Amino acid sequence: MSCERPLTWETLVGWWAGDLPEAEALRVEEHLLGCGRCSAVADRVAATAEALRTMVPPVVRPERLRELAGAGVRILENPIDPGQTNDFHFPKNVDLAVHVLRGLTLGAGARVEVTLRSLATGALIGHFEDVPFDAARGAVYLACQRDYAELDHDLLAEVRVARDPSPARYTILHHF
Amino acid sequence: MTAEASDAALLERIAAGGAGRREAEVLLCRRYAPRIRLYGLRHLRDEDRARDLVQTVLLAVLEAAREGRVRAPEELVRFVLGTCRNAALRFREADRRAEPAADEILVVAAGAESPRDPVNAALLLRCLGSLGDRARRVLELSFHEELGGDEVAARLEITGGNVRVIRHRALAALRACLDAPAGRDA
Repeated sequence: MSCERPLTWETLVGWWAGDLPEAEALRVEEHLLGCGRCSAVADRVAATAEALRTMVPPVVRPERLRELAGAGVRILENPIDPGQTNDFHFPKNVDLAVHVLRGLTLGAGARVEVTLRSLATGALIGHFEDVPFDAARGAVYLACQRDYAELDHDLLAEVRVARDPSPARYTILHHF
Repeated sequence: MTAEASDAALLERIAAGGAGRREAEVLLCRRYAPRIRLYGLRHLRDEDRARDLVQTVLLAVLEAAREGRVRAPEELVRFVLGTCRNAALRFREADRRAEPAADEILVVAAGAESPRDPVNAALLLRCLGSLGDRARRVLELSFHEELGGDEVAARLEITGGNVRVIRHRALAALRACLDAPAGRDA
């Protein structure tokens, strides 16, 4: 499976993202249809991009939750107040748990950051800037999937509004 | 005839008919099916529709090859591309015209949520966490929210050129993390 002029990863990513001019996109597609090697690389681009497209992000917007619920995804809300330690048992009949990190003062246009850490080790699991929130409920929605059982079960979520030096802290002890 | 047979050899065997035709057709279909599926995923953004496209295009290719209308490899690629374009356009037109019942909308939406790639959500979260904030944001905006490069640039207040560079590097880093066995223990 040889190719004299393989397409670059950058070109393939641009093609998948729909960012190439039409003539170039057509040239890429002609090449891919005739080239097994580049087509295999493009498949890796596609698989990675598709995983991102279909993922439920860790901090999820309220509208997305409504879409998922409308599509039949079984969602359980788990409200938690700042400073609270929450013992959460992931029910078998639930597809997606949503930790409702509430008790926040959130004006429209607020910039909110969420940091997730392992409670046991303090290791950073993820840091998310400019996350979506529900201003009316004063809450940020943290999506929790069954696959997360592979991560440290005990979690500290810190929510910082407008670079407030003292973030709201929520401790969640998961039982999968 | 082996899997390494050239497109030209396969086309010749198919056009000639006889005992070797079936084997050549199988080889040609196996070679082109994944490439057509990729085209379908890119343009139709749906695994089932991409599979329908593979079927439609391969049937047309086999018919053309049997009739000897496609003989040279470069003709074959152009024929496949043209058929892909036309069929994808027809599929999109049909989707636009169709007014699915409420139940169909629900089923399709539910199907769209099921993962197309066996990427574990925890691993994906961990690998995304290993990227810088900006890189992760570019990936999320580009591939999760499906914004164009210019829209991502405007949202993050960087140039379109920067978006493109960050995007392809970040996607490569994410892929490497997902593929690395050590990534699971990182």
